[in-house]
Amino acid sequence: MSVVLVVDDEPQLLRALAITLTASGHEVRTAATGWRPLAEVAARPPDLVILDLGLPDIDGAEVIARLRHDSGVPIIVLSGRTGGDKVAALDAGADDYVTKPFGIEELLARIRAVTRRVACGDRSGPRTARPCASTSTACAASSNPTRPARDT
Amino acid sequence: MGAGSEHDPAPHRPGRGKLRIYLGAAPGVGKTYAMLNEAHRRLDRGADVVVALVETHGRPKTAALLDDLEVLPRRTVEYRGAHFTELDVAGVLARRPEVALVDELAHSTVGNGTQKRWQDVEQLLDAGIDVLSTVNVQHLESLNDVVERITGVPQRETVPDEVVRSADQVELVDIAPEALRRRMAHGNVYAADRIDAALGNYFRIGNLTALRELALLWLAGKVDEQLDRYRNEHGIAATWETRERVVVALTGGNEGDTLIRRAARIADRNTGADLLAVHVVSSDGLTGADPATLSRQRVLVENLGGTYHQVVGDDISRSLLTFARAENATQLVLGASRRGRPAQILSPGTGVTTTALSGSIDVHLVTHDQIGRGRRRLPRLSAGLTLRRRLLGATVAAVLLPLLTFVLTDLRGSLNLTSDVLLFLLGVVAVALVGGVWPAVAAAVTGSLLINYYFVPPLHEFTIAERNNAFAIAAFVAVALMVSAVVDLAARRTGQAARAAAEAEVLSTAAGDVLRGEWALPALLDRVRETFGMTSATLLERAENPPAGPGPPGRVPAAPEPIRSAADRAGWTVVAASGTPPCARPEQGDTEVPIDDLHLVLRGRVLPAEDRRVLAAFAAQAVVALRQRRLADAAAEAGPLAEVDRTRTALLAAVSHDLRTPLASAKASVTALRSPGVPWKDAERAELLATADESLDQLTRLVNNLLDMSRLQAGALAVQPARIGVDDVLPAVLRELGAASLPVRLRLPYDLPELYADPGLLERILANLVGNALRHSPADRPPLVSGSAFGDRVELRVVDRGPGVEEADWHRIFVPFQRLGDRDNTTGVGLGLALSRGLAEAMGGTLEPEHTPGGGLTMVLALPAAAVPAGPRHEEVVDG
Repeated sequence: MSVVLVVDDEPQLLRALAITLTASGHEVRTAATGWRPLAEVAARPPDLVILDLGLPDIDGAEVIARLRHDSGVPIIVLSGRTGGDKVAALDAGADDYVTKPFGIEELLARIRAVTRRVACGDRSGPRTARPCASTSTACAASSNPTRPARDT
Repeated sequence: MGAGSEHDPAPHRPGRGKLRIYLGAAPGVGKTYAMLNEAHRRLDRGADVVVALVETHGRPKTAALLDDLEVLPRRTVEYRGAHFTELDVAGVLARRPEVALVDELAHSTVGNGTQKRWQDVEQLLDAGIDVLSTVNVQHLESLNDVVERITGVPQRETVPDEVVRSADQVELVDIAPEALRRRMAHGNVYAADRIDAALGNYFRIGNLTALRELALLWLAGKVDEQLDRYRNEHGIAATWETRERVVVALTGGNEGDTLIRRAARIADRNTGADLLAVHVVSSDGLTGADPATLSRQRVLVENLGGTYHQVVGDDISRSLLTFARAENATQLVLGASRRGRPAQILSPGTGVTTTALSGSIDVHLVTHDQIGRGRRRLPRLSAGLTLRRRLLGATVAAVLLPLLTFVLTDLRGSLNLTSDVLLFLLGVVAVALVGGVWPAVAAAVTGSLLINYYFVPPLHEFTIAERNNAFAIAAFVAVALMVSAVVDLAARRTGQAARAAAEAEVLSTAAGDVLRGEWALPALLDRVRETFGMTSATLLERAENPPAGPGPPGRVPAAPEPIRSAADRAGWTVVAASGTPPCARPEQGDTEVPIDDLHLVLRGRVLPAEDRRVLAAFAAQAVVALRQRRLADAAAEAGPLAEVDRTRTALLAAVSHDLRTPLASAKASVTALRSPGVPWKDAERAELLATADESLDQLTRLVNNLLDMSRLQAGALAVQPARIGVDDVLPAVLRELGAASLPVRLRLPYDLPELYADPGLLERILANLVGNALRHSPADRPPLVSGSAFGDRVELRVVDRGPGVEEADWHRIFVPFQRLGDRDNTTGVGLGLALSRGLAEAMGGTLEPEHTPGGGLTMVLALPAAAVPAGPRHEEVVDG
């Protein structure tokens, strides 16, 4: 069971994601501001961060950059913004980008994909040490060039 | 001020107590506080002071002052089932203090056997007790109707003016309206939930200022009475008092500075007096004015708060007075004549002439250190010499020639004919110098006849014996004619030079105007009007499309129009105008200067040809000023365009965010429910459905707001007003907001009139306001919704105790789409307040913010009441 930190300032979405992710076997923590996850990641590192870009206190892109400064935790951006912001978020260090509105299946699939890649250690940088939970076939699947992971 | 009315200002009777009243313009100015301070002063002096009745209205600072004073118990009275505490007159009389404090002189009393508290106070005074009391100006009987007109609130509790006026001392407790408003906002006057429509309206700056003026005037009246009495006793005549307009005349000399300062002092002495400086440019002669001096003096005048003007005129006195009368001047300041005494013998000078003609305008002749240093004016001609000069020349000729004849006849033995002729020639030249060519010609002809008759042999005959003498006389006439022609020409040249100088001066002023920036055009037209003495000056522009039918460019007319001249077809637009009435079309004016599509049109008189040259220059300047202004406007427009573009992008992001966010929640919830293989528990399923439902509601609200906003902006909102009670709407509002968990306090009087409003729209507005208030209220201080009636309006106040909004930002919170970008999720795109105000206005109401006393924001929604309720139902504003 992996720990997922969901950061969004919309209470309804937080609630829906909390229920769904818990039901699919994750431990869910939530935050409605940008500063909380920064502190949280340092104190109790999660396995995955799902992050909204439009936060009331600091911009999501800034949160990504700061997270990346001292942590390799995988980040999936969840935002209504499209276009240039998407590229900027990915360049800042996000692992994937889901545009609102989205189907829950898609989000779950992306969570699985990102988790797999992390398990195979295809990223450098500081990272929480966690034994690879998936099988080697899953690793092979994620590195298969015919199935691009960032297709949205 | 009835010094002799039935309540004769009580001369202080021995044994009667002294009454001191603290008079205030409005509740909250600090009367009770001032009274208590005085009580402490007297206590410190060893007086026996008691508090018979003081209302602190829960104001802690006032209450603190009560601490070490003796407070007498009040009587409790039951009246119509309610309990009141009232001044215990008997108790105070029994206690017999030296000084008693009795608040609120105008208060109605119950059960003391008196109607009003001031009657109780009379009893105390009669018993020899000094009384300190307070009263608000609104309670003074004589001001009752005025106060009602100002505030809309009739006062039932009044005190006769005589009671207050006959007090031994009346002290005004004064505070600036702004300071009182601040005190209100800080919650130092009333608690937030005491503010209702009547009170809110009462404490508007305009009301407070008017009430303050009333209080000051009333007290000034009392002071006046004393002063009048003093004046009568000392035989001082009354002074006059009017609004003054002081005109100072400038010659362009250095003494102008002195005059301006003097005039400014005269203006200063009269509050609100205007200062106008005027310089008369002579149109046909030397002005003697130094442009540099004039422009320096212009700056000086403007620095002193005055205005600078120039008029053109031949007769300085008349031009000055014409200007002064046109400007309704009451005083005219002139410099004493600069000319020396000999010159003053010849003509009385501008000052004397002006004074003689001034009529009702007071003329001040101010001395200065430039007296006697005037420049000599040269003879001048415009079309030759003036008639006056010619007549003068003729007079000189008429006197000089007989005189010469008489003297030379006497001296016939000692002077020969040559000397006679030369002396006559001298006389003719003198006439030419004074009167120009025509008097000189006349003098030459007369002179030749006189010489012939009296000096050329044979004497006393018009025959000439010697050819030699005939030549001499012919030469005399020729020389005289030539000299006078030269003199005349010189005079003409001088006139032309002077005129050129005057024109140059006027034009340099005009050029200066153009450089003065955005107001160049109006200033320039003012100058044109003044310079040429016109009633109006208008700059017209030809509009190719007549204003009646500006069809799209390239449109083919449906039917061939009858052929008209271009001028006929063209409409004219007034670009700028000075004076009234302006001309709407060129042909309405008396003088016109066309430049391309622009026409400078003057109304007043037909301008002589020689003035047109200057006018043309003015017109050119006006066109330059206009183009300059249009260029500046275009430059100013280009800046905001880029800004608008940026704003639009950010706005799109905001709207997109607000639409996507609830959509995302709803979709996430619904897709989660649909995902196969997840065994949802009932609770989870219910919660996901609730989330989807809430999100879709949020989305609906937003879409509704967006649609209504665009309907409002397009003027297509359907308003269906009906009679409706506030309590019919509020429950639905609170339900919609889910306010069951968040408490909202309601304070609606049972007799609150019904509204005439659209129920749906009212609900929307209230939901928005209450929603905002809930969002910004601290958990322990729930928002309050209160209703009250004021005149034919019902005011609903939504009061929150949150952080509040700075007054400077009040206008900003009503601007739609103020939130840009997608960062803030709490406020939406900022449609709420903009929409609420728009809806309120569509229903004939208003929505205004106010400070909540003690901090926070109060939104005041005023809507028309359904019908005028029977009987007066105003709430009275009393202190507390």
